[in-house]
Amino acid sequence: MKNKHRNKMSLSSVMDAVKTIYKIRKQYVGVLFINAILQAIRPFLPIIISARILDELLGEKDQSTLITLAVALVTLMFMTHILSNYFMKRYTDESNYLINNYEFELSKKSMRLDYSEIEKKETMDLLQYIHEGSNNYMALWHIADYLQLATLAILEIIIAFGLILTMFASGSQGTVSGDLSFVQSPLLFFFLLIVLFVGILTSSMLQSRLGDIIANGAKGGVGANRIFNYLFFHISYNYANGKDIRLYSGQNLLKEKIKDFVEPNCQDCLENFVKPNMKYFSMLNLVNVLLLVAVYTFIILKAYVGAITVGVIFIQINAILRLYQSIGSFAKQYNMLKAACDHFKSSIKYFELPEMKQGGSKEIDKNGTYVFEFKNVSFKYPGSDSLVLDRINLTINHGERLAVVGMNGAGKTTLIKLLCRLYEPTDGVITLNGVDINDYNYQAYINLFSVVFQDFKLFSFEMDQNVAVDEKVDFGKLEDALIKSGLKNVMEELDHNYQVPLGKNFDEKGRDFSGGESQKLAIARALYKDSPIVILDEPTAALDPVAEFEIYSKFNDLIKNKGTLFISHRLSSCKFCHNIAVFDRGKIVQFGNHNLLLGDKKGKYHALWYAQADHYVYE
Amino acid sequence: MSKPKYGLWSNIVYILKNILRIDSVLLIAMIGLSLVMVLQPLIGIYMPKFIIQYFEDGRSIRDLLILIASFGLISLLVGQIKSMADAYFPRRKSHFRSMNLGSEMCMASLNVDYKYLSSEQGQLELRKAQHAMSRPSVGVEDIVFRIVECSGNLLGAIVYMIILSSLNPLILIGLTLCGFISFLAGNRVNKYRQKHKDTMSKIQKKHAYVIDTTRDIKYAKDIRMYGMFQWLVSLGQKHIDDEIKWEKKITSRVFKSSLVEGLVAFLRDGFAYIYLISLVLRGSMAVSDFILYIGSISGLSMWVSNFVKNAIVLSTDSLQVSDYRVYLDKVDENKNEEKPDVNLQGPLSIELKDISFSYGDKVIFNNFNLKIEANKKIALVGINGAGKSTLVKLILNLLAPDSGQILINGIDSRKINIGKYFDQFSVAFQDALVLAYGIDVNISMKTSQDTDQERVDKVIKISGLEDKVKRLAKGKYTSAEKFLDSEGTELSGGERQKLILARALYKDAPILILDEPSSALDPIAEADLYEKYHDMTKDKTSIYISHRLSSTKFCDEVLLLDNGRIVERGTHKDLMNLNGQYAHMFNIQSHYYQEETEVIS
Repeated sequence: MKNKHRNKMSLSSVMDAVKTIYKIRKQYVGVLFINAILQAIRPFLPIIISARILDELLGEKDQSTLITLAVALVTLMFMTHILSNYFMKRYTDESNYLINNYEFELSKKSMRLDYSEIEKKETMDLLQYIHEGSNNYMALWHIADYLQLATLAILEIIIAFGLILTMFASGSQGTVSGDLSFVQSPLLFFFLLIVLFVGILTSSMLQSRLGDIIANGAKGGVGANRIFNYLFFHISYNYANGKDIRLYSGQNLLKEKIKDFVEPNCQDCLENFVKPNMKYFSMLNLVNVLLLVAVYTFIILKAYVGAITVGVIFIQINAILRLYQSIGSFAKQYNMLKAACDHFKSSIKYFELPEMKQGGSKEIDKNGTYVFEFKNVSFKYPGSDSLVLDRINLTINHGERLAVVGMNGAGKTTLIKLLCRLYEPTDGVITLNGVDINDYNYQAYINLFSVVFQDFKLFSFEMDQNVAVDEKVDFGKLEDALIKSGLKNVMEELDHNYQVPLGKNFDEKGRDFSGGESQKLAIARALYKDSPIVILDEPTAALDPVAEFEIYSKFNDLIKNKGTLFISHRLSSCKFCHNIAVFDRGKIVQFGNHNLLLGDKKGKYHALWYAQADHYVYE
Repeated sequence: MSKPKYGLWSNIVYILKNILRIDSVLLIAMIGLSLVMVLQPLIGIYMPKFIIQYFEDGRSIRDLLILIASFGLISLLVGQIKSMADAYFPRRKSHFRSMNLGSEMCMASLNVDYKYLSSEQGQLELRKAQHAMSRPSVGVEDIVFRIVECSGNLLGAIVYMIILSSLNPLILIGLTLCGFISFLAGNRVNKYRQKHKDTMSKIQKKHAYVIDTTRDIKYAKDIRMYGMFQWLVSLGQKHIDDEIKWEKKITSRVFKSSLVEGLVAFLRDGFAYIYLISLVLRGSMAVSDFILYIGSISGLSMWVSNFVKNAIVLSTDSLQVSDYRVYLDKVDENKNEEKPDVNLQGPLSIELKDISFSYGDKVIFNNFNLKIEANKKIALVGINGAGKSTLVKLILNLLAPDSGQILINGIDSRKINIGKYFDQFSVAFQDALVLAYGIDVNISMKTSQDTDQERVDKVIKISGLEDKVKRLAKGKYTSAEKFLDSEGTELSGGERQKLILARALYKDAPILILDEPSSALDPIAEADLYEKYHDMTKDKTSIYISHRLSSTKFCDEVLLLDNGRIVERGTHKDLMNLNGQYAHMFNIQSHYYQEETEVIS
């Protein structure tokens, strides 16, 4: 869809941007304006002195005056050069500070976001949109740049306009006779002012149209970027994906898809960007040249009748050139500023998204007993109609080992997310020792759990920090966790030096961990945390039978007398557990220990068990 | 650094040729821009010169007006060229790189020999080529810009030298020198940056990693459950502070070099003014020429220093263009190897003869021999890292053995056209690719129009994906991912495996290879797969890889791979009777399911 209507820039979004900049870096705003002022004054000083030199050369030709003027000129240029470069450096430094810290603020916000927000597609799209802003020159620091350049342009316009007006006014007292006397008439002066004004207006209007073209181009680019990244980076350059494409001769399919993307894109660029740009550039050029000729003629006539000196011609030519450049630049900066501020609204929106609920202030006794109860808990994901969990009632006693089994999509992982307060139940309540879990202090509550998710993640940082999740690592605790999780061979290989990065992402000296080793490391991280309740979601999926056996045979040692919640497709693991909850389509259909459930020959558990066990019967 | 394969001139010609081939208008725009680059400043210095000269000569008002009109006309013309070129050049230059050459590089990557692409050398060369193509400011796109800049600045330098040549020739030399000095001052910053490039890119990489992972939804659960906020913020802040510190070092150096530049300009302009003023005072120069020369003097230094600056960048770009060409050459090398047609019919046998293979120093196979008879159903088992996936890739010709040969029906795989060779296999990889297009497209790997939809329906049924497809509004035409289509679906791990299986079944090649096809399936879906396996593999040679040893029972033969060797081979029964490693593994897994075993607690 094309967004043809042209919206005005709202001052409040500019103020929002400035406020955010000010919050991150106070000095930045000051340096920005000083820099603009310096850049504005810089070109005019030498012009004025050069004009004096010209007049002197054409007139008195006094040597010492000329030398003084020349020395003054180059010295002044040198000084402004140093000053403006110094502030340019300061400005670049502050920009770097702003860029890095602002990006980091976005990251911090992402880590504080309410988990249900993060799983929403809109949130991810919003973040993607903000991210693409920095590629499309619409990030916060670009706003700062545009502000600076717009200020600079305004200052230049004021100075240049002032110079031109002094010329128009000057020499009007001169008496000229003959055909050219009209040059001095105030009417012509007035007429020229109007021409100038109309010219400036036309050219700003054209510039503003151009800005719309640029802004529209940037808007259309968001979806295109996504397709581009997908086809080029995700598919074509990723050799892991290349296996299937070759084996299934998918090249033609992708060739079509790439063609379907590239050709309209190039066509669109020509039609909607290049051609209108050509049109407006040409029109701008025409208006500018016409105005230039008009003003030149006027200046020349004035000089011809002797109302102004040649030096003043020189000043005027430069002033007018500056004026045009500045007007063009201002219109451009204004347009970019408008587009960027519009874009910045999405950042503001992101920063206003709800964060993790800290819940009540109730503290938790670290060495107490913990009984969890699900009371009539139902859940559906935001924006979805289907119940993932349907009126669940479940009690998990202190120190109990509970297995949760069921088919794909039965709601097992969702149960964990609710228990961990990543989501809130749509209906019903979960209690700990009889109190709603939301009434407990969030951090204290989270500390109760060590979770190994099915899709756990480790970082490319040092191995020891990955386990400790801190820069300070308790060495004894670390080794204990590593041994328990079955990484003894890795410990020996590393000679007990654990400051080795995971993978070679950052450092050639990094160590690549296999899928099985990574899973063990994730278990070690859970053990290091040493929480009273352990939650394991498919903990042995990436392990081979021997490694699986290793983990299972150490199970008692691993979890001691901690409470455990255990999800697995391999029902063999259920035998370790006190109770088994069998989930089917969001409901608990069976509950009890292994022998009890297996006894129910019509039950789901029986079916699941024998679907696996039958194949292991030794013939 | 090793010598690049292609030199500077060769790369410039290569790029220009490609521009001519893909978008000849772009070439015209480039020429226009270089000309305008010189013409506009020329108007800027000649206009005041002529006006003053006319005044000095006491020309009539008519002459003056004609002068202004002609300048207006010239400005209009030059401005028009600039407008056209400015509108065309930047965007089309980007498209030339990202879209035109980009899609050529994509197709190259999809067609280049997989053995090369997945090798360390291939990956390195791809990364280099990708870097050359990554941004407007590097390699392939930047060289286009630099060619314009260099030719414009060179032309400018020549024209200004001609203007100034009527002055003392020593001045020309002096000015060229000034240009070089300010360039050298600026270049010190570049050298510093070059010297610390690795350190800085490492810091940037770490910094970017923290920014990316902390925003990544996949990390969100762990970050919250383990309270990683403090840890990650503190690590991130460290990298950010590091980066800012380095940037500051560079901006200080930029500032210092600008001091040198300012000083050179100070001396140059000071000298120029005094010298030219003295000429005017002596009466050997008109004031109009004074204006012209003052403008040309600062102009010439600028042309020279800009030319050198751009030439340096151009030569860096050229190295990257060379990287790009090296990568693209690999596709052509591949193409040249057309092989004679061979007859591959009916059930196929697979034979590996004296295969040796190693990853770096790590030997995976050493003189490995294996023959799989036509029509046999093989189960391949072994612990993680035993070499199962590597073996499959070797058979598929996705990896090249260091020595030895692979025979299909007795024909050396290297003698078979690679496309034809791939046609013999239906493979379901563990890490198979699911495209963000329709389910039907994913199954056939063809466009929807070219797909045999009836066959798609059939394999959807067999693979157990039917329930899922029925629940979707657009059925099998629903996109299998949400990435490019918000109305797409998201497949669970199990559904994904079913889709991959359906793809293999659709292809219906003589050899079927399934790599852990049931790891994410629930027990009932898994049992269903086992039941159908016999039908799926009718009249086919098949290899089934799994950790779940229950799967071996419906195969003709079990191969136990350990440390790159087949240590046990036979039917499930044979191996159980052998009571070796296989029996041990089977017992480990199955004893949980035996009713008589005690519940461990």
